[in-house]
Amino acid sequence: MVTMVNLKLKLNLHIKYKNAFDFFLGKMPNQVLVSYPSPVYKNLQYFYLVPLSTRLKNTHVDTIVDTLQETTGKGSSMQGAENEKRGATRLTKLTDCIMYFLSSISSALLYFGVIIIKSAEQQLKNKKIKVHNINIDGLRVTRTDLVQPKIHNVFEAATFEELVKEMYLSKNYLEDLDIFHPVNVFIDAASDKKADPIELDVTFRVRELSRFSAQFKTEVGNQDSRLVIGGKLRNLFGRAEELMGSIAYGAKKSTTLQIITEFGAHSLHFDSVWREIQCLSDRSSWAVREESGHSLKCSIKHAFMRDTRDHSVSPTTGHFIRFEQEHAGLGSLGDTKFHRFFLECQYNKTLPYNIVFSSSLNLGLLASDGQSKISDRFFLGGPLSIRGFQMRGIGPHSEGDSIGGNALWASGLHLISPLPFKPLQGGFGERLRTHLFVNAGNLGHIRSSAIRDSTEELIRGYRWSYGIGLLVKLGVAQLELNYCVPCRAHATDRISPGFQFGVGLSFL
Amino acid sequence: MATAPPSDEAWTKSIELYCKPSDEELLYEKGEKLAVKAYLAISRLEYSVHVRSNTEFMSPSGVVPIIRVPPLFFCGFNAIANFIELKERSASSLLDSQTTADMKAYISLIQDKLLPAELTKHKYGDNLPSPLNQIIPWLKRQSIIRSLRNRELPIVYSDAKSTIKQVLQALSNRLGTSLRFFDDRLTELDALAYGHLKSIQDCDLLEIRNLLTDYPNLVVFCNNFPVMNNL
Repeated sequence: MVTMVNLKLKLNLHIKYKNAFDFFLGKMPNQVLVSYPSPVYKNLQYFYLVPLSTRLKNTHVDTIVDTLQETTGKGSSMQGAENEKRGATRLTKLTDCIMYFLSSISSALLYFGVIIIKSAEQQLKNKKIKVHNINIDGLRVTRTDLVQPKIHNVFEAATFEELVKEMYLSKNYLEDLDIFHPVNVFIDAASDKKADPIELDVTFRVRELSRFSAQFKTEVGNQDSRLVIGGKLRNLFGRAEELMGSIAYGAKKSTTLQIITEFGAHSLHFDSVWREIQCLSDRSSWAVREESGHSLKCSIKHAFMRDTRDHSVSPTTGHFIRFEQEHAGLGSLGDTKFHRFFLECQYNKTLPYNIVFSSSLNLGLLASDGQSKISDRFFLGGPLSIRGFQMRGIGPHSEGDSIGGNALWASGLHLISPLPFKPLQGGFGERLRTHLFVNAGNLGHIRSSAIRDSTEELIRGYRWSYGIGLLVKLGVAQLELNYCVPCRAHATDRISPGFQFGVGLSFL
Repeated sequence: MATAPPSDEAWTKSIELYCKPSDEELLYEKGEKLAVKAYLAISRLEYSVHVRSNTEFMSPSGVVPIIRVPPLFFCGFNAIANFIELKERSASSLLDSQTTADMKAYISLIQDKLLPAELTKHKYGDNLPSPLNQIIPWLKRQSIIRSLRNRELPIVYSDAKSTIKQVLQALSNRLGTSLRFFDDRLTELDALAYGHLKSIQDCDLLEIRNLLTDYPNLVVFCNNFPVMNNL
């Protein structure tokens, strides 16, 4: 039963600075490479070579083209035992490849790209090169000091393979700025006649997007959705700044004014939120009803994030730490005052037989002297947190409505494996995985008068559940179908034994 | 709001009245509150008062005050009066049907005309932080103007004034020289009329306060309302 919701048409002003990306610069290559460890990804990389190689002009590069054409002939006839063997594996990769990029890239082009490139792989891979010049075409408003550091790494490429990799990453960085479309990259022989024959020029050809854009979209998050209508001013002062105004009509939480600044792993937000809590149902509990009405929250939020995982939803290795602190009611702005801390950790490791061990822990604490609302408190339970319980089904309840708590801990252990007997391997089957899980956690109140006792209570009164389920990876989201067995619950908890379905972006 | 009231008499012990702080109330809200208090008093029911700034938002219909009889609650004078009548604690339950009909006519006369005409935006939303204390009163004002327009009632105060005078004249005629509206018994109408008249009488704005001076019998009615000395 939906009982409490912040429902209000809200004005959303959003200013975003994307300058401080340098921290990621060193990190990104690993992340991008590992995130698609399947052979398919390699194909994608080399796919970029196809348009590149046809543009190579000079004599020394001609040899590369020749090699390419030669090997293409060989590759397509596929003579020799070794070639046949490689051809067979190639075919499955190709199927996969087509599945994956069907929507975005012409599959025929990809097919030829893969055949041509795979065969020329060895020759090109270790080709020694040196980057002589990098040209950027199409900058009008954008400042060069924004673009330069992002593509500087291209100079460091020593082989053709590295060059392509760096180009690919730089192209991604430029696209991520969200101010250019399209971004094209070309390689050419160095225009300087005196240059060494192995020297190349790299050209980034970009087109700046128009400064104003309007949007109308629906956002779906972790069991939450909202409708956003807005406009955006892009690249205001030439450094990828954004000024966004939007009206959001949502079922959870909305932001009025938000300023985000990113300093590497740290980010600082200034939020100003006008909330209205309404009881949607006449049967809403009195405890929720007493919280209803308007409130204004002005807060400063600091977040630290460190993410070495290879994928945000279905990682196989790496760890993730995110610490967030929010201080509301600073300088007597607004009528909401609290200090909120939240820590999220996750650790993943690949075991033999492609089994992934994943563990996570969340800790939360809200310190407030009564000037916080129900929407500031923590909730626990549901298919994305402690499975086997209903959404927000754990912790203090009043007349059947969950009223949240000011302290929470939640943990999860998973053993994730590919489907047994590997059906549909190389295709859709790659997206399906099974997992065994154990969840434990608790939500409660820590009273400032009896910190020790209430903390003990919070730890001792744990709930836990276990189960088995099927995971479906859908891009950045994941879909779960679990059979859950809640093992320890309190009388007021709303449990949901048996099959449970969940979809979301982050999971415990 | 559930419909079935608790069967035992224990409910009379746990009546809670939720209302706004008196300096944040609109004139008609104050009138409703006093009417409910008067009605509870003449029904000889005990209650505890809980003052909440967000009472209006706690009520599903936005109508204040709220009476809570766990697990039930009722908003506004009509719902509360209906509930108490249902429990057969009503002061008016002994009246004959003709008198009851008369009484209801007067009640609807007060509520339909006097109630919106009493509107001021005086101090509404004072408890909210800036800039919400500008926005919310404005929204409230818009919604009231909209509802007045839908009911084809006057929006401008000078127009409303004549409406108020009509109602007061009707009440004054009905009351005559008596201290009760119906015989010598106190009824729902007495409570409702007392609430709204008293709120006019105590209003900060001289212009509204002066409305009552033309009807000395109504002033006498207010000042001599028997059970209200403790409110």
